[in-house]
Amino acid sequence: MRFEINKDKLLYHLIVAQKAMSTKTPNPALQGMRLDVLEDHLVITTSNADISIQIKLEDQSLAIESTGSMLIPGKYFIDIIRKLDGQTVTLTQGDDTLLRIEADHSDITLNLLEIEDYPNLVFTEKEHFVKINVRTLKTLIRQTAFATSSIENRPILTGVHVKIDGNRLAAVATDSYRLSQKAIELESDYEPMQAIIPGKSLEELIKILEHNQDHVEVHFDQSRVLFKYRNILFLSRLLEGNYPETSKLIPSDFPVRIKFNKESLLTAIERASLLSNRDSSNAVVKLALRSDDTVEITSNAPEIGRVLEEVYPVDEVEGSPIKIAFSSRYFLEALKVFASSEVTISFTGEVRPFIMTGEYDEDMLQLILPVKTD
Amino acid sequence: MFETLVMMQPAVVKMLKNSHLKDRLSHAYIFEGDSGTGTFEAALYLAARLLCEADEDRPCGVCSNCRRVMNTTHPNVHIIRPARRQIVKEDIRLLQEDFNKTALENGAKIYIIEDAHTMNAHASNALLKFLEEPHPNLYGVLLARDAGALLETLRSRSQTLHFTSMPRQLIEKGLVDGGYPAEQARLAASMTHTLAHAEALLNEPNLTGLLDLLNHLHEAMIKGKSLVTTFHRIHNTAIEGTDDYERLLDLMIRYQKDLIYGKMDHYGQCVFVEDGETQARIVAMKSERMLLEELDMMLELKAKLKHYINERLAFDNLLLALERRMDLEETSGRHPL
Repeated sequence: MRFEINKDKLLYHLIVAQKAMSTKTPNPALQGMRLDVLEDHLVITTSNADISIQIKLEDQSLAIESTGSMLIPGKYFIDIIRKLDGQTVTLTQGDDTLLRIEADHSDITLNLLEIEDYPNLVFTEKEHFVKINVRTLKTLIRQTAFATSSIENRPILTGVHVKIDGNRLAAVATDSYRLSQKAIELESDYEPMQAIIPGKSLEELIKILEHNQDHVEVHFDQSRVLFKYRNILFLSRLLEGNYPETSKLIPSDFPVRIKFNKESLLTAIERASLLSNRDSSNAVVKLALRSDDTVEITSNAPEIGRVLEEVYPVDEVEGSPIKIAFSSRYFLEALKVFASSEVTISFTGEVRPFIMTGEYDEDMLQLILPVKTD
Repeated sequence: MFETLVMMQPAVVKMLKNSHLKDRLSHAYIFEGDSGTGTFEAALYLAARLLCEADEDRPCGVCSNCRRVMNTTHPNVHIIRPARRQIVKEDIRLLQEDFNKTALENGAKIYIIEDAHTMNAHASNALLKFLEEPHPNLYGVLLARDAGALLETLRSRSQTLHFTSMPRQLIEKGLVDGGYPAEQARLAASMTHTLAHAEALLNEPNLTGLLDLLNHLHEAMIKGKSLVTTFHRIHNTAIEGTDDYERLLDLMIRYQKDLIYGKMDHYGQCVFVEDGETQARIVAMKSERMLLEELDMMLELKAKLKHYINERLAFDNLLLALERRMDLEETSGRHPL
């Protein structure tokens, strides 16, 4: 196997592939980067078991002399390519166990890993796949994945539940204290299907998606989901099990509705969460609607001090005075994913979950469970 | 592939083979056997059987799956071993996280927990919870020296297979045939369970140093000198790492057993035969009850060494205790009641 290629082109794709490379896996084969040199293109494959990336690399600068496959120690390979001088790099597989990297005045040999040990990854594309606009998909993930659970007590909750019915795709994530759901309209109709995709996989996926009007193909399978974006295939395992029925958690009747300016509410809550005897990401903040329709945001940490913020609702308030306490982190995280500048918060009762909606955030809902205080 | 295992543990292999053929494999196994009895190899055998691509009645050993199982690089085979003497809850959590996702490759999923007896309480309970949930096509193998050290509830949910050790005489004969001196062969055979392990022990560069140290301690014991002082005067040459403390303790335990055999006039069972004179003198000094109590102290320390303790301090403690007992004995000897 021997070929030469423009160094920057190669590096660019290696960095994308690196996102799925494992640094701390017990399986040494996964620390490798698989490189397949075919007749007229390269295929770069990486995997950390949870997610796998495969890139098809075609380029004018690519000149292939002979084909072959090898498993390269990924971290060293990327570090070397990054530091090389010169425009072009030549890679040669010396024998079964050595890779020779030549560029400018450098001549480097790297011991290869055993390619037989590499997992047999299946990147097959399906005949029927779902097409989603890149920007829409990125927004969908950003608005839901954050609400997945990071504790593994109920592993199923570490995933985002994606459900397709007709031309509607609905995504739900919850850690059982808060919930986020968002639905989008697809360009055509599809067979009903559903999958629970690990939140961490989706967070890695959005890193490789650019912000443009391209499309991502989503290929669902019983046991995996494959995203195809340009020349990149992104494969993720799924979570096994039944996702809990979440629709019943959402109250339908809201006696109190308050509309806020998103920014002023955000900064008020941020200030209130500064004084906290727990770590600031876990601060409990209280919200009270006074009879004069002003909203008071308070937090109290006896040994540090107390904060009182007054926030004025933007519209007329519906409902009677109410007092509610919640985790400032959950509240802020939910608030930040809104695109609307005005956000409506609807309350059912002081110990019942409340929801946030926004005029320009169609089909999105954020739900938070209040905290009991004395 | 697996020839040694089939030779060493024919019963276990047959049992696994038949269960697999009849589709009656248990979802959790405990492979109980001393190190070197082939428990790990048997776990790999089971994994290879389940994943082998060839349709034969034994793992083919040449397909990609078999080879990756043997190299322990197959993504469907999850191996847990104690990172630092203990298996902790985090290890089980990672396992759980992995198996709650769909498999990277098709086929059965297998987890192997080496030294399962080192699981702490949190880890055991987490594993128990995991075992209680149904996971189709998922198989677990716990390897333990002593199944009794595992939670009762874990044992009741698993099938225990016992791995027999190689008879001691066979190991000893093998070593002597291999050109090792008879005395050493006897010692190594009494402390290990396979020929390979016995050979490894004898090839241990530190063994002579440790045996010397043991001799010095016994001399000190006879002359009524302080064991702790003797130990600290010469231990630097023999004790290099924390493992050496455990090895020295193993030797002490073995020697103590000799003393007890000596007390009972079962000299034939003794291992340190060249050391007969010293042994006879120590045996004359101590009562049977004392010897047994000392053995108890040593075994207790051995159990403790599995946990995070300061080996050096613990050892000093043992020697001090042994030393104090010698004093007591002398006093009581001088003033018979």
